[in-house]
Amino acid sequence: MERNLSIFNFRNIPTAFLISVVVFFVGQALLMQSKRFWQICYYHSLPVLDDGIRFQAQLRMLSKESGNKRIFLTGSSQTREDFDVDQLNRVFAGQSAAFYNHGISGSASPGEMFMIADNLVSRKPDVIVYMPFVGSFDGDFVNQKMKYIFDFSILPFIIKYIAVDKIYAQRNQIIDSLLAKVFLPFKYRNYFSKTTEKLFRICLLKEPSPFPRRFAYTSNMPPSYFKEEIKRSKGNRFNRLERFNMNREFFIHFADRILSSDIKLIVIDAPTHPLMDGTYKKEVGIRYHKFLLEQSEEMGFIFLDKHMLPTFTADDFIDFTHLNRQGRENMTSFMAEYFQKSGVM
Amino acid sequence: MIVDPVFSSTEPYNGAKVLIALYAFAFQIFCDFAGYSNIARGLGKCMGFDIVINFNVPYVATNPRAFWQRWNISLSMWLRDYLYIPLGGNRKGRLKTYRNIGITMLLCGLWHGAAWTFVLWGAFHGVILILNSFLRSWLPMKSERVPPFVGHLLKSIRVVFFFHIICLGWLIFRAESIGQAGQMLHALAFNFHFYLTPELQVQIVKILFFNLLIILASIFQLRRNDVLGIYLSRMPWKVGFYLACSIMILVYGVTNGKEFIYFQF
Repeated sequence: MERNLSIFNFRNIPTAFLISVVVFFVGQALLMQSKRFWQICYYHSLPVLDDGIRFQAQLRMLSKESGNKRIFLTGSSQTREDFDVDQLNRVFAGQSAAFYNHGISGSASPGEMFMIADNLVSRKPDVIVYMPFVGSFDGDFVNQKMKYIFDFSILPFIIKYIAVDKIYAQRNQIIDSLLAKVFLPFKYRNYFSKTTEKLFRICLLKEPSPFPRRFAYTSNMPPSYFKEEIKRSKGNRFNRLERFNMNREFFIHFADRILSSDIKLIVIDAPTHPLMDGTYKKEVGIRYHKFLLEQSEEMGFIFLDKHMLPTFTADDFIDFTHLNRQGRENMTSFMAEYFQKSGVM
Repeated sequence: MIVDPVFSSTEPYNGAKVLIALYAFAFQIFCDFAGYSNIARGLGKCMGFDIVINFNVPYVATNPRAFWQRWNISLSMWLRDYLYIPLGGNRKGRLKTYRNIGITMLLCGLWHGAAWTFVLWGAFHGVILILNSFLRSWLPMKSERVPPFVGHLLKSIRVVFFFHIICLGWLIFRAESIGQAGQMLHALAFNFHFYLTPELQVQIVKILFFNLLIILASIFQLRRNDVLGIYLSRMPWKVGFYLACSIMILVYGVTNGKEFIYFQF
C-alpha cells in the first residue's frame, strides 16, 4: 500500500482543535446547568464511592430561589449515616421546610468545610447544620477527596500551612484538584467509569441494581474491631496541635462565611461510640469542645454538645462514629423535635 | 483489567479466556508502543526533528513480512540494515536467506530482553517469516480477476487469520515463562470452553469500547491510504474524534505515572 508519509504540517489542526475545545466546554457548561443530568447522576450513585458527585448533584438539583425553607445537613459520613432526611421531610411536610443531607465521606474537617462554604451559600439555605467530631479538627484538607470540593480560596492556605516539600509530596492531589476544577469528566472520572460498567451490567447482564441507595453501612462491627482499634490508636489519636490550630482558623472562616450570609449555623458535636474516648487523650477532647463552645458564644452560632443529644449506647453504633438504623432513628427524631421546639426556622 | 488477571492466574487456563486476554494484550501493546512513539514524534516535530513513523496500522497486515513493515518500523529498518543485509540478506541462495532471517529474528527477540520467552518469540517470527518466504517462492500467487467484494472478503479473512498468528506470538511474548506459554497454548488447543459468561461479556465489551477510537482511526487511515487519515478527514469527523479522545483521556487516562510497557525494552 502506497502511503504518503511525508506530509506533516499542523496548518489545519488548530481550527479543528479549537472547535473541539469550544464544543467541549459548551457541552460541559450545559451539563452543569442541566438538572436532569444531575438527577440521573444522583440516582445512579452510591454513598461512600460516589460521595463527591452526590454532593455536587444534590446542590445542582436545587434551584437558587425557593419558597421553602432549606436546611442543609453537612459534615462527614457521620452526617450522611446519622440523619434520615426522608424521615425529617415527612415530619416537616406541611411546614414548607426541606432537609438535604450533604454528608461526604472523610473527616469533614473545617478546612474542607471552608472549601464548600460558597457552594452551600449559593443555594441559599436558611439553616446549615455542621456535625464534626473530635477527629474532624485533626483532618487535613489536602487529600484524595479535595478535587471534589476544591475552591481557589484555599490556595493562600496551602501556601501558609503546607511546607514546600509537603506540597511536592501532595502535588498529585493539588494538580488533580486544579484539573478537576476545569474538566468535569476528569473530576468525576471514577464515577463515570465505574457507573458506566455498573449500568452495562444491569442493562445487559440483568444484574441486580444497587441504585438508589441512601446509606452505606448496614451491619454492626464485631466487638473485636473496637478492641483492635483502641489498641492500634495507643490512646493518642487526633493529637496534632498544628492540625488543630489550622482547622481552628478554617472553622472561624467557615462559620463567618455562613453567618455573614444571614444563614443560621448549628454545630453539633457528633455522637460517638462510648469506647471512642479510649482512642484519644482526654485533653484533646476538652480542647476541641472548649473551642467550639467559646466560638459559639463569640460568633453567635448554636452549639449542641453531646450532653444535649439523646443518650446513645454501644448498641446504636455500627463502628466508632456511625450510627446504625436504631441510632439514626433516634438522632433524626431528636433533630425533628429540636427544630420544632427551638424555633430556629 | 483483562490481561494481567489471566497471566497471573494460578488456576488451570481456559482457552477462551486466554484468547480474550490475547486480544486485549494485542491492543494494549500496540497502544502503549505506538502511543509513545507518536508522542516522541510529536515532541520531535515541535523541536524541528522529523522522526520516522514507527507504526503503520500493523494489524491489517496479511503476512509476516508486511507486519514487520508496519510494526516497530525503526527497529525493522535497523535490523535489516545492520544485521540482515551484512549477514548476506537474500543474495546467497535460499537456504542462507532463511538462515539470515532466522538469526536476525532471534536477535530481534533477544533485543527485547534476556528471557527465553523473548528468544522464542523471535524464533516464532523467524519461522513464520521463513515459511512466508518459502511459500512465496514455491506457490506464486496467481493474479486472478475476482469481483471487488470477493477480493475484500478474501483480504479480510487473511487479515483476521494473520492477526491470530500475531496473537500467538504475543502469548509467547507476554508469558512469564516458556512453561506458562506452553500451558496457555495447550489450553487454546484442548481446553477451549467458550461460555459467554457475564464476566466474559463484560471483557469483550470493554475491549471493543476501549479500542473503538483506535479501530475508527485505523479505518480512516486505511480508507484514505494515509496514516494521517483523521487529520485529513472532514472537519466534523476531526472535531468529533478530538472530542472523543479528550473525554476518553480525561475519564480513563492513566494518571498514576505507570510506565509504558515498552520502556523495559
